[in-house]
Amino acid sequence: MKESRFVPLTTKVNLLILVGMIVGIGTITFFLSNRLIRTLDDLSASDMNRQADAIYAAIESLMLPGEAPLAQGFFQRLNAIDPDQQVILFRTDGEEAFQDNRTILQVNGIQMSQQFPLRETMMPMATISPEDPAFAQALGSAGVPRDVFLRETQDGRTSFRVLKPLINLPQCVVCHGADHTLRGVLQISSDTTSLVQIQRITIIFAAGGFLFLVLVLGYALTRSLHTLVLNPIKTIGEICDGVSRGNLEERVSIRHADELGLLANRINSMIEGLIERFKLSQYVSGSTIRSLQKDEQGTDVKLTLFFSDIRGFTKYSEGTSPSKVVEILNQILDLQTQIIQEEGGDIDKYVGDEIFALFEGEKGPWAALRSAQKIQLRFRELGDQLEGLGVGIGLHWGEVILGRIGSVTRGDYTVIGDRVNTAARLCSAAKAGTILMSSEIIQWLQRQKNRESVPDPRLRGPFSLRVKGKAEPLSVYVSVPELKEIRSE
Amino acid sequence: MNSPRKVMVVLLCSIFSLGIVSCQQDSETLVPSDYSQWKMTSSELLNFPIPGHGNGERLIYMNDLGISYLDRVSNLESADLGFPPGTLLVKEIFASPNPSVDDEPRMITAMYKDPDHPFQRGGWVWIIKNGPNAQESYLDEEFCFTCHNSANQAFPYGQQNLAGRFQDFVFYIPLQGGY
Repeated sequence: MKESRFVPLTTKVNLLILVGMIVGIGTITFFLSNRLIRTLDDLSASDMNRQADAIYAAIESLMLPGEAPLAQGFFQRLNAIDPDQQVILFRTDGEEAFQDNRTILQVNGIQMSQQFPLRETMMPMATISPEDPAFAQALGSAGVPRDVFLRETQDGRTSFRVLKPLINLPQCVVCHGADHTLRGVLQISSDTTSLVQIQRITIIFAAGGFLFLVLVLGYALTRSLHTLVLNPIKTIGEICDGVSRGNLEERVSIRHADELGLLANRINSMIEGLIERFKLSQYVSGSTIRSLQKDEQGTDVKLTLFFSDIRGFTKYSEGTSPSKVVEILNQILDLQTQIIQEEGGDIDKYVGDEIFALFEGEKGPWAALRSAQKIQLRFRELGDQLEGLGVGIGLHWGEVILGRIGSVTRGDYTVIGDRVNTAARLCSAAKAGTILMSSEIIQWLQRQKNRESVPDPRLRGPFSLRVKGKAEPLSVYVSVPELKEIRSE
Repeated sequence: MNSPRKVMVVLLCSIFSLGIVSCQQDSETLVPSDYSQWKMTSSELLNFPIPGHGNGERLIYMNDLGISYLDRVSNLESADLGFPPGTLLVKEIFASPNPSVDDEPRMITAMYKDPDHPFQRGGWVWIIKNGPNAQESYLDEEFCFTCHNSANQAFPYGQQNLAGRFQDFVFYIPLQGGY
């Protein structure tokens, strides 16, 4: 199966934050900017329409009492106040009103008087094409006359244009006649280029603010995540690495009241558990630990049984201080234990100055014999350092019962059976410096020698040994290891 | 059929039914076909030229709700008026100033009092039909409203409203009982 490429958590988190911020804040900024622009446009349009209504009402008010010249002056004032805004009244044919005498002549004709004096100076006249779609729509090309609002862009400039039909109201027909519906179209145009520029600047500022916000918040969030999540995870990983290398001294020092704090506590508890188990293995046999793990009941197994016992220890302890006794005893037991464990043996129990060890597997007899030989050789080397004490060792091989032996509240995983007793008897019969083995051990060694190269243990025997509890004497062999035998291995 | 599917089917049926009802409401006409049986608002020959309707003859009808409202107004000649919702005025506009009895009006306009209507202007819905059999359409611009607003001020023809009372956008107010 193809392995996934390793991507650091930091990279993933940073990427997640950046994408989240860009999508989240970007969307909000986009919608807000868009909304702002629309609102400004709507406000401008609304303002334009209000202005158009106000100007329309002013024209009506000025025209009804026949004050057209005042309306013309009003237009001029409005156009002078704001050069970006132009107010023009077009007649229905597209010519600008108030610039010549045409309307005055018509009104005087209807009135059959010279009520309104003719102007002496003609003004420049603006025109709008009757085909102009907005103008035509205002005149009623789509059914009835109606207001038209436009937003136009030309040569980089933006403007709003409102066209409002000026209706020939019943009050107007007295002067203007009743033969037409509209008197003209009022056009108000406003250059909003500066407003558009403000909108652009607003968008640029919003985009800049967005980028700044993303960077600042991204940095702050990344730092926070590093402190709150990534660094604790890194620390936990380092501690776990240390544990895998055998370092059980370090602890995760995270005091967060969150999931990571709980995880740190669990890791620390796990390390404590490992330490307890390690310490337990110093006091409990390996078979006991394995049995506990498997929750085994009694079972038949073939094992090599190893017993060693210090000769003359009772007499020695009577004339020696207790502390020295314990010191020497521990030294002797430790010496033997190290050798037994080096050869793959498992200490089942210490009984006073006696060791009972087990060797599993097909090579168990050979490993047990090697342990025994090494122990005897070591005693000979140390000599006086061990106060002249020595051990006798008994070895036996065969089927025994392995199981939890004891009461409900206290028990041991150990082996029992006739072969255990026989091995103990062999040990009792072995003199200091010697190894007493059963014929089963020797038979095993002979079988192995036929199959593979097994060194000759330099045995003497068989001897007949009568032991307590056995009607028939046992056939046993004695080995007194020599230094050169062991070193030549 | 399990419950979620039942709910979905019911919802779809409801939405479909609502759609049908909405369409029916949209296609409902405000101007009934028998409006010519109603009382008229003026006995005057209305064929003088006016802006918006030209010089074609105009016949104006008011439904019973409007007529009965006027019957209840005391001092009808000078009181401010406020027609009740549901009042309907229909104006037939002929092409000729002197149409024959067989002529059909070239245009029908109507005012329906409904202050809550989305297209109302001044409390009235302004309706136009380009002929007796044409489809009604609402006018949502200011054109009709602006002109009829002059009815609330002094105007130069017909009853003229010289006192400038509020006539609720109606130019010709019939006498009690109508014509």
